Amino acid sequence: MELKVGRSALLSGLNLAQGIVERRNTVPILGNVLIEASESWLALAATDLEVGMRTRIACESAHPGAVTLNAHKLFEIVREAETDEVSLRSLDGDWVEIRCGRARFKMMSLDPRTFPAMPTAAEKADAAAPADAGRTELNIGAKVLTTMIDRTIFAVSPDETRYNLSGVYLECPAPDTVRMAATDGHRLSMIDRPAPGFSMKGGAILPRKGLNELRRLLDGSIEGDTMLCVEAQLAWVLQGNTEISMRRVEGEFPDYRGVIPKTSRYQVAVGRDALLAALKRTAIFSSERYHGIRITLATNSLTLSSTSPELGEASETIDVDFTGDEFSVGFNATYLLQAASAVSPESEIMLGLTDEVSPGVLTTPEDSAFLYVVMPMRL
Amino acid sequence: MRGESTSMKQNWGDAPWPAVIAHADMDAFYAAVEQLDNPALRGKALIVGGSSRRGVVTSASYEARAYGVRAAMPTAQAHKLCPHGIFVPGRMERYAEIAREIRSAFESFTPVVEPLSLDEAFLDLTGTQRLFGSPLEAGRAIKREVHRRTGLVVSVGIAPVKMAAKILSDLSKPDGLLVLGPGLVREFLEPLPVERLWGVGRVTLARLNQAGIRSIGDLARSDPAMLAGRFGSLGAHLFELANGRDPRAVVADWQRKSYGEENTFEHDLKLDADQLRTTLIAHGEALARRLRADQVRARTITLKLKLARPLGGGRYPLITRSQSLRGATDDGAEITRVALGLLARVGRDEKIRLAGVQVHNLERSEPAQFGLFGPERIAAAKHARLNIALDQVTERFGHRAITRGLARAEKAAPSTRIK
Repeated sequence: MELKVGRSALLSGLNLAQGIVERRNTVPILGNVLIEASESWLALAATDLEVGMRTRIACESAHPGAVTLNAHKLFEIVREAETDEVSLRSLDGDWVEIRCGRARFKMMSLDPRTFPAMPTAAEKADAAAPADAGRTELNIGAKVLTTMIDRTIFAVSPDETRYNLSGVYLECPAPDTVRMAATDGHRLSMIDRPAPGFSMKGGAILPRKGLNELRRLLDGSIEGDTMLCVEAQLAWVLQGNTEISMRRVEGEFPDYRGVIPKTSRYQVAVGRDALLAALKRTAIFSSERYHGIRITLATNSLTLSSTSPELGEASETIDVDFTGDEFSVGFNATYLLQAASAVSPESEIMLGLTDEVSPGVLTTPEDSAFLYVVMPMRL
Repeated sequence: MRGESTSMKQNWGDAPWPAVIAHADMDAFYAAVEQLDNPALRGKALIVGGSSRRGVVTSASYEARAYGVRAAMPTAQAHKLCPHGIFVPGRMERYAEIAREIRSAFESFTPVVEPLSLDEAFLDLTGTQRLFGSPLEAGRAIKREVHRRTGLVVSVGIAPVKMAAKILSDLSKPDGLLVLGPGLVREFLEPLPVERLWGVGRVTLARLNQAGIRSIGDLARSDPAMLAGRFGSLGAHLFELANGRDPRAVVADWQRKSYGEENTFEHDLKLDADQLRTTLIAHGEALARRLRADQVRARTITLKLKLARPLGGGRYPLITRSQSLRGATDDGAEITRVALGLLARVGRDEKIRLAGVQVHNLERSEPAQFGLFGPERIAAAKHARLNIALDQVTERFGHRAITRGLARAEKAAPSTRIK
């Protein structure tokens, strides 16, 4: 293999690969990227077996061929290069030479035939000659999809043993509507968007990591439309020359509809920015382990307070329109912070509270299709 | 308030206090509360408690004590001694209400307050010198603060060890304050009768007397090996106490090891009596309330029964059964469920005179995140909600205002906090 490729195109491909390659390095080949060169294109691929990426980059190729190279080292080399062009060349044995200007690197390639690439979009498209019964296509604005991911992904469970909570649930709650919902068992974040022509039987849990990478990919082309394909095992997006694919999470998403309260006893409106800032300040004294914070509603005031037995305490009052008996409830400050952050700046947040043990509800008039449900904490 | 009857030696200043422990004990507490609430009773011989068959005097005003009436004396005997006395039934809620105020007065001096009952507590004043001055000044301040808040009189004993502080407060009554400096404890104890020592009950006293030990000084001069031989570990412990050494620290509620509720029945009960079940339910609720108030949870639950068959010497066979839970609890329904389960397994055809429930293996209540899913989580939230409501009602209206179904037991006999 011998080729020359533009530095910036290669760098952005390698940048995307960084988030995907296996970090724990248990299987060495998963720490590598696959580079396959044809006459005028090279394909760059990375995977951790759950999530894969593949991108095509124009290049000048003298000899087609394939190598796999350590993703992180190659990324560093290209990042630090000062030339507009990078050249790669196979040497004797498994050595690969990388040149950028007068700098020269030698890296060992692992056998490309052992690289466990995810199925590519091209292969999948070929296979799907007649209307594939198992395939659903969601055509949606890249920006809309980005917003949906941003407003749900933070509620995904970090606990990998609760695998059915380890991703965002995608479904079609009504014709021409797409919904994403995520929960870690303590809170639920959910958002709907119109999606003309979209319909899907059942739902799919998409892994957090795959959506994070998808999110990064979409960041580059936020204006256009994109298509998310969901198949029996995989979901994937082809955006320009780049494809992100991910294995669907197996397992059943919990019956989230049942935990959404129909009403709340108290409703208060509070500015998103004021709430977020006050939460950040008050959370300074919430305990590191539990992040407990107290919300107290009294006549025309909402007070946030926290106590750390070792360090001290904090409180801050926000003016709100409230009448009723004074009442107070504890929450994990992080859960409130993340939800408030997900709401657009300068908008208003409606906080629905009932009692010390019933779920709190956070909504915003700016996006009536967004809903956040959070269970209290006994402090 | 009457003048302070402070009697002490003023020469403790040169010896440093290893610990400053106060024992504060309300004077004729229940009777004093009755006299406080009803001015017509002031200055009268007033006797509280004991309208039931096994009734005993729970409290007597100093005017009644002049006739020889004492707490724990059968009511009938009190009637004989003081026929013109005014006998009133107790009002536990009111006493508990005032006790909370007293407790909060104590806690304004130190967080380490160990209540022994509603009306007496140890306070660890070690290290409070800069805040409240010398032990004597602190003692005066405690008496002032309790009187300011409640209008009632407390007697206070202060010493470097618990046992001496308790004896001092008792000797100082009424309206007393006694302070004993370090280095004087042994000398102070020397002439006192040995039953003054905490832990010397009727049985031990008789055996000590048999060994020729009558005063604490006699005990202090005894051969420790002989004591250990005759009394085992109790002997060694008593020897230490008699020599003015008491290693026991003041243990605040929140550091305590267990909670207990128990009561003696008016009539002996069979094991399957409804009244026994209702009593245990009431105990479970009372314990849970106390656990929640102190923000602790318990992992082990013990059922304690005293059989009606006497062993002689005023003693009765004691049965205890314990069970540990997978997770600590502060829920009355759960404590009761375990206690009733233990009762079902006692399986003896005997009558009992006393039933109690204790909880141990305490842990601080950690903040708990409620979950969204799962029937057991919904149930947990319901329990939590019910307990919050129970505590709120109790706080407003007293602990008899609300009980779970079946728990009419508190009518049977007032339960006693035993730890």
